[in-house]
Amino acid sequence: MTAENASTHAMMVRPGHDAREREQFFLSLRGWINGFAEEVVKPRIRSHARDADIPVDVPAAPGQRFEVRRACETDPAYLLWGSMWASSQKLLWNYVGQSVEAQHEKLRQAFRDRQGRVGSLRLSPEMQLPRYLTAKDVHAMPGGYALDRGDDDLRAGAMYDRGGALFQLQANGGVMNDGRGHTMVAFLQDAFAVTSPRRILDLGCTVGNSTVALAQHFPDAEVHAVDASPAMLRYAHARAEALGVPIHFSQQNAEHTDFEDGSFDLVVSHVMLHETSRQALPRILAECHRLLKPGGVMAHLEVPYRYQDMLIDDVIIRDWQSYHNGEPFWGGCCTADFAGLLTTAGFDDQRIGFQPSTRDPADPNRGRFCSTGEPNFRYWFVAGGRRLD
Amino acid sequence: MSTDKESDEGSGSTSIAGQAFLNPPELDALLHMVLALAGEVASLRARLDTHERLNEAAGGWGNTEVDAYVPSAEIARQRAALTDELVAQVTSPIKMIFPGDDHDR
Repeated sequence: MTAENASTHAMMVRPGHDAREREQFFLSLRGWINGFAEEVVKPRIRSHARDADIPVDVPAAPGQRFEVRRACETDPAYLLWGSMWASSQKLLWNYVGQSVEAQHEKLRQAFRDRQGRVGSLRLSPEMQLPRYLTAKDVHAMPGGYALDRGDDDLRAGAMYDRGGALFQLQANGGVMNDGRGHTMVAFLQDAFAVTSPRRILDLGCTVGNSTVALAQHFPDAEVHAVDASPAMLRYAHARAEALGVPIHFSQQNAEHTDFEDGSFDLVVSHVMLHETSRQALPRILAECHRLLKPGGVMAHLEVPYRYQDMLIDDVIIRDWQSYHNGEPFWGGCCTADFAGLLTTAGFDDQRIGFQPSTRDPADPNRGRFCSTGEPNFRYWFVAGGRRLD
Repeated sequence: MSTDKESDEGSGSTSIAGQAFLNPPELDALLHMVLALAGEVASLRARLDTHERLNEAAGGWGNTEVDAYVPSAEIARQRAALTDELVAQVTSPIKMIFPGDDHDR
């Protein structure tokens, strides 16, 4: 695995010689840490589960993970793995942060030069970020989504884009970070036969990486995207402009946007819900319902971990994110009852399951939406429904 | 009884960087220092490799010549002295704790 592929864009920071090698070191180190989790930590987790009479060969009840996790918290191998994972994450952001700092002036100038050529950007400086985005540094990225030093700061977006590309190199379409967007389009085709939506909204768009893929698939649509973080949005806008893709970005809270009732044919999100909270999730679904025209489709793409279908050793490894990587609602989202939540929000014609990852929704040989999948990034969990009334 | 609410709250620490895994927590810092150093070693080694390959591509010596190089006795002596000095510096904290009995000689 290497840190570069052919496809990139003008706003992606370019690491120099040493920064590129440091990134490569991160990838090698993370590969080793993941191997250690598989070979050393997982057998110990199974042993702790057996000690507590919790099943290890079939999925355990999701609530049983808390007892196993408590036992793990005194296990030297689990703790060493955790320390190394957290340390490697810190190195990742240090490495990416150095490249971003060195190139920030150039990125800021590109943002200023290209503003509003094909799309638009509307910021709301008075807006308060929701607490779930400020309480912790999401993904342990220094400053998190809230990082904004003013004067057209783009650091948070530039770091997230480069860091995400590295972090999920094989899983999300390489440097373009657009695998989730393409996979969403495949889901919309498979599950709802969506062909030509006229007005699309992407919630929690961060750097607009998935939004761009959507907009490219539906070139006749008017595409809007919201996020709470101003630095993400400045970068997202400059990124979309650099790619020549018209998207209208605005700084808004996905729980209550200022768009009119019934004004969208399609409302989507990509790995946003697990960054929110148990209280926010139903509010976001209700907002999606309010925004959709009758017959419109809501679709959310999430990490492919449904704890009720997974073995306890894998659950404990994945659930680590809830506690130590600034993702406090990760476990809550991976155990949420989406069928119930969608019903409460008023959605019919529900499709909840797994979408095989794809970079080309038009590929006749790609995998199709199915009710079951695997807990790895060859799949994404998807949940959608149609507003009928 | 534990509920899913537990994971909504996540860890108590708001500072990711400050969280402790190992006991004593200084071990987390030490481990990070070692990994960060390893990252610099990897990056430096790649830079040396780049130098060798660029030089070779320009018609000069490369990887093979470097591997085949054997220092003369004088150069080997100079290098060993440098290495001795490095070892002394790296181990100096131990010498501070256990100064030895040199003063008795």
